[in-house]
Amino acid sequence: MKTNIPFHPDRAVQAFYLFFIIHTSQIGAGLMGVPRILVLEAGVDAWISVLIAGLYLHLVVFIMLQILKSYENADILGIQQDLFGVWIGKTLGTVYVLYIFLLLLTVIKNYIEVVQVFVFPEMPIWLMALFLLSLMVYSILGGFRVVVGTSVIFFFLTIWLVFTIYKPITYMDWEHFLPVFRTPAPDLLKGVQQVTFSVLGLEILFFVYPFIQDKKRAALPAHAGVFFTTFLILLVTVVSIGYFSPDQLKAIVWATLSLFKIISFSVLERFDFIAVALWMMVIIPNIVLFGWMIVHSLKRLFNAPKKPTLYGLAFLLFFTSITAEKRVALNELTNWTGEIGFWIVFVYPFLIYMMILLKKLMKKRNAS
Amino acid sequence: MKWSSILIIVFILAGCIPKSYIETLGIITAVGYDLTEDQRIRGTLVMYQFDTAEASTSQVVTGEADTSKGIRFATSRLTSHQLVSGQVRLEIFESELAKRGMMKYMDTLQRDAAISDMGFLATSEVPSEDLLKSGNDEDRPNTGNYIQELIKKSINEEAIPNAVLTSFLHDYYDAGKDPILPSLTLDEDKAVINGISLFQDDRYVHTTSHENTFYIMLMKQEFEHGQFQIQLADDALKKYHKKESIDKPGDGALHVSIHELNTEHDIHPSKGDPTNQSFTLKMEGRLLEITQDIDLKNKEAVEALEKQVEKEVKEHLQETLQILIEHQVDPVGFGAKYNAQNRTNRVTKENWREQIPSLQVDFDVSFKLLRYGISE
Repeated sequence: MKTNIPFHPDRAVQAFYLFFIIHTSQIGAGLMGVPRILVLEAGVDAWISVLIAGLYLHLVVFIMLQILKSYENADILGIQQDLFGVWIGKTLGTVYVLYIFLLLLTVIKNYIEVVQVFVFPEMPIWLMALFLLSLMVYSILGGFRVVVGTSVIFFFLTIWLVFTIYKPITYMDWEHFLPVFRTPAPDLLKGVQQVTFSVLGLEILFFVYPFIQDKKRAALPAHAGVFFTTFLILLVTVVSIGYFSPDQLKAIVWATLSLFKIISFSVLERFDFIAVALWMMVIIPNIVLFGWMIVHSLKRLFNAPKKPTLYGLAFLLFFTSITAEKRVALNELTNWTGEIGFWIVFVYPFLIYMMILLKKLMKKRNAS
Repeated sequence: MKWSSILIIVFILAGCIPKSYIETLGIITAVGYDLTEDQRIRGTLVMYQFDTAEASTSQVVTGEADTSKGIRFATSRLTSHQLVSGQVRLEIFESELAKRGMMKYMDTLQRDAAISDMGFLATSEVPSEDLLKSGNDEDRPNTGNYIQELIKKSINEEAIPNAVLTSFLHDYYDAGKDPILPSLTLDEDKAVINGISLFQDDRYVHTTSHENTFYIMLMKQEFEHGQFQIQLADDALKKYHKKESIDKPGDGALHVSIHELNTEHDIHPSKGDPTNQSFTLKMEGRLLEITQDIDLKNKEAVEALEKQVEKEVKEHLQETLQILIEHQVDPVGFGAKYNAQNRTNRVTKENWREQIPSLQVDFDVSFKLLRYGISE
């Protein structure tokens, strides 16, 4: 495997698409329940945790871009191989692939759980899994540009849901936030960690970077994507804390979806059902982008042929998603994935960056 | 070709999703819960049915069980329709049952995603079964619908405080705040609102009169277009009686009726002591009725009238507060307000209940009369 990927302009996309790629892969199943897990850790000061997490996200994006910039046209798989050698590099690459597989599985399973709880308790899991996976296969077969196009289209198809939050805002009790700074700092930091669990997907930047045309302009859309993600999480957290009583919020699993429960129009009494259905459009970019990452990585690492890999992936996802049926098992899977993801996405880049700096230093010394 | 076949399969698979035909459904719109002699709950369901063969569009069924969902199961023996609770818009609890704490019966309202958060809650002094089976429903499709419209209208007119499920839960879970709900009763076989019921957490304790309802609301929320009637001392405005009046102007009691009432209020807890608070209230409104002939052209008369109203409102607020203290309830949220502004000696659900009897509030009321109709 070569470190750098040969650049094909006809397979690449412009830099501003990074905004959609990063934002849509970060926002997904996690947003549905983030207010509650945050409040469990950080209490009513949870919004501070979101702000700190937002700053941290920007730092991570900055480091990632620095790493990528020090190579010509490489992705994380190539960089790992360059830094650690072929064997360790490939092993680390496989760890990445396994982690993304877990992430993909959690997204699918969590969404199916929500549909079963909210709308169709009797709907079989395999049916929902089949629908989602056939969509995934369909768009990944179209290639990278179709994958990016999917995320752009579904971003615009769902972003208007944000405006429906005006109704819960009118029911908000701002006194829940007072007095501020009551949560001790360690709990705030635990809250920060909980936020990062919900915004996994940022690692996609490491994979799509070689497919960006004007790399010099990549920083702005990447940071904008992260900023918008932070903004959405801040919005639902603040509104949930104001709308629900803090003790009540601790018992509500999908607070963001529960906010939709008071929205009704004269022609549409129960908007929450529509919102749950629409949430499928929020998670489809997730599934498609993660699926693409797996197929692409396997091709890079082991030269695996794309189509068979894709079908194999779909089958594997199908069977793993229909096995475990209980909420408890699902929660464990989610926590597990979050824990692994935290280290891979939010800690590991710093390590790589240090390695690169070290390597540069060594080169300089050898040269002089 | 390949993709079209997959598309067709996906469309066919969509048939695997369970379907509900509206003719087979019994759509529950109102539920009433009562306590039976042997300590179980009796549930009364009002449901719509869209069956062309049936003459009436709604039906009332009753069943006994230990849980709310158990009632639905028990009543399903009584009807050929499949009962669904996605359109429940009214839940009535008999006050005897509500005395035991409502949350244990309301678990399913929170847990079941099919149930809307915007349904109304109410308590009932008579068994809710009698209420929902009562005859006079003003030509509404059924009594459940009539009561729901009655509550909705009263909330819009600011005659009773908001009673949707989500605000009840909110007030229940907030430390230093108790929920309130409208109270219903039967008046000559017709369901009517007879005041509001006070709660200690989720336990019903007392139903207030209509007059106190207004003053509790005055403390709890801000009015935008409310109205109220108040009696002033008979000779309070004696100086300003019209001289040229044909009738005897000073005869009888002095009542005034204020409309388009707009209020703003502010609660100031004192530092470190939740039982000592002050309450500022600013009221604006227009006069639409006065039972003595007062010369309102005179600026001093209007000012004197305002002063009298302020004084009376203040007295009534203090009286109402004593009723709240007597029953150890805090629907206004004095405790929660204190919590929002103090870091030490915080109020919790447990210790606030014991502190309520020593609560003291200073009321500061100001009233502005904006207009007084088309006669002077």
